[in-house]
Amino acid sequence: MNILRLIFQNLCRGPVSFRLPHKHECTSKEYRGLIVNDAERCVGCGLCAYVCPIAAIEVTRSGETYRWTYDPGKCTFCGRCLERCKPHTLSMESQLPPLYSTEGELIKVLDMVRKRPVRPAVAPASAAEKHEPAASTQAMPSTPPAACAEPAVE
Amino acid sequence: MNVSGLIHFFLFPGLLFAVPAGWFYVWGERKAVARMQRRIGPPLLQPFYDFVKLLGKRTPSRHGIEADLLRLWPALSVLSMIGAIAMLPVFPSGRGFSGDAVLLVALLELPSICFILAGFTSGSIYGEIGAIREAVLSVANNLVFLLSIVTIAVTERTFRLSDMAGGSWNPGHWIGVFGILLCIPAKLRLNPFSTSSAEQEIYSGPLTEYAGAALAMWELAHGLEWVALTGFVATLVVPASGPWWFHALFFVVASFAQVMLLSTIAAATARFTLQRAIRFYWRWAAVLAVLVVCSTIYMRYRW
Amino acid sequence: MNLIKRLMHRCRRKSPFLFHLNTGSCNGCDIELVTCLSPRYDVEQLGIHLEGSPRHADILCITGPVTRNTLEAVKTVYSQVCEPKAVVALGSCPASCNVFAGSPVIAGPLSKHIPVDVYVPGCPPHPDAMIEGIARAAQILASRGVSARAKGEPQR
Repeated sequence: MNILRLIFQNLCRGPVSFRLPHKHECTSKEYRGLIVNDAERCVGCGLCAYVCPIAAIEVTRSGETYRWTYDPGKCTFCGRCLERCKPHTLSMESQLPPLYSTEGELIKVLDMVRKRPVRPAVAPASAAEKHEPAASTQAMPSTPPAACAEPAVE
Repeated sequence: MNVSGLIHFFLFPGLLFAVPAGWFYVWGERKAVARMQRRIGPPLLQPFYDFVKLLGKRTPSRHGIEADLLRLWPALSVLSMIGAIAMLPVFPSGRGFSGDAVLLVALLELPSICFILAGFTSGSIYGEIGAIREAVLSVANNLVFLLSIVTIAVTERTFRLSDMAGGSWNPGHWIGVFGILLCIPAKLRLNPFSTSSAEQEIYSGPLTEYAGAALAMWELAHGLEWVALTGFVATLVVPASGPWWFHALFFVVASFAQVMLLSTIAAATARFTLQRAIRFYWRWAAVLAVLVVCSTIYMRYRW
Repeated sequence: MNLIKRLMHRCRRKSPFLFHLNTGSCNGCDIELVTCLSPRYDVEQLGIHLEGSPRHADILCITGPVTRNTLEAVKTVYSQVCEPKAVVALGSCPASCNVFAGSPVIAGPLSKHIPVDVYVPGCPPHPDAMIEGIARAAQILASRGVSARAKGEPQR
């Protein structure tokens, strides 16, 4: 008769269900939602595309610009791209991914200009005299290192 | 065709009462089972929404005699159930449509037969398996059902429904009522005797190939089965004296109380296998058979 | 008969019957779908009922990348669901085959074979997202009615 006692307890305690429609509240900071890329800080290294098991992320380069494409429909929310991203520009949203009705509706495309890596300022004057003839032969665009003002990306 | 007969067929307890009551009892069972499982359960009008939605489905067209037969079985179930409900002696003081218990039993049996035939006619393997299970279970539980009715008839010395109705203080009468209550879960395909419509095992059993309006009729027939069977037991336990509105009220209240009791049993048990279900019924059938024989001999001795 | 149309629209929205089909899924999405029926989420509040036969259902919930073995089954079951119907692709497998894309035993994403109405992303999707997807599919099929997308008779 245990089951009858259990049924009676259930009737007394009342339902435990959410009243639908229920809005899910993500209370954890480590919730795995959609991937968000910070366009200001992304360097286009392509490591996220390299480790993605589904190829949901693609990085293609054309000259000065590169394109970072992310398809949430393919994403499995494993977080490998986050782990491998060296500049830590990728992050995950803390909410459920949205529903969609047509394929490819949620694809995110970011076009970014290629950022040059910054040389550390060792000795600008002497370095400029020594390296100037050599600098012109390099494939790098010909700006003197001292003129490089972009912040170093780690 | 007298007026009161027409009123009984169309108004109370016939068509106009039975269809909403059927939906209400089906909702009651689903809601009660949900609450016992700490869920919320469907809204009140849910069986009505299901019925109307099924009427609006576009079904595949079938050809030949099979198509007509497949449409016939649910229609026959619904009509026989309405007839059975109209025959119930809700007012035992004789104002009602008085009928014969044998006819009532025949009408109550028809949906089960139609269910079995629908399973075989549909041509699907799941239909056949479900129909076989229902047939075997129905043989087993009909024995208990018929013996219970015979017990009541023997103790009341009559087969007329209006004389059988009304709870007398005879122990044979109450044993018969208990026997009928035992058979109702199998007739309604509730747990623990729901093996013929075991969704996880045989898809939908005999109703697998049904869609649209025909399926809506099957669901309606199921609701009407609830009303007929619980109403039959209610008419057997109602106190014989009292005004007509008391009898009508008692009919509804007693039926709903049985719905709650059957829902509790359904929520508390799991599904029996066919073997176990048959063994259950044959054991109780043996007990009831002995009781019926004893009461018959006792009555012959007393006369 | 505006009243009848409105009544039918309301009834279709309020009573979606589901049929669940697994086309080679890892079962994660299936487990989350069954969670929706459990006391925690209890979709029966919305009238949703898991049916045993595709003919009884309105909404087809499909999980899994469509494997070669299940392709015929998908097409047959889709044709057995009676109009008006809607298809919900649960998880990222039916949308894009997820990690199995390019495999020789996968017959491609679901939209190559049957029209899909709602995609629920996630691996597996949260039960809340699934319930929202099913509710949206019920809304879609209620407004669709019977006339649209009636391409030939469904097979037996």
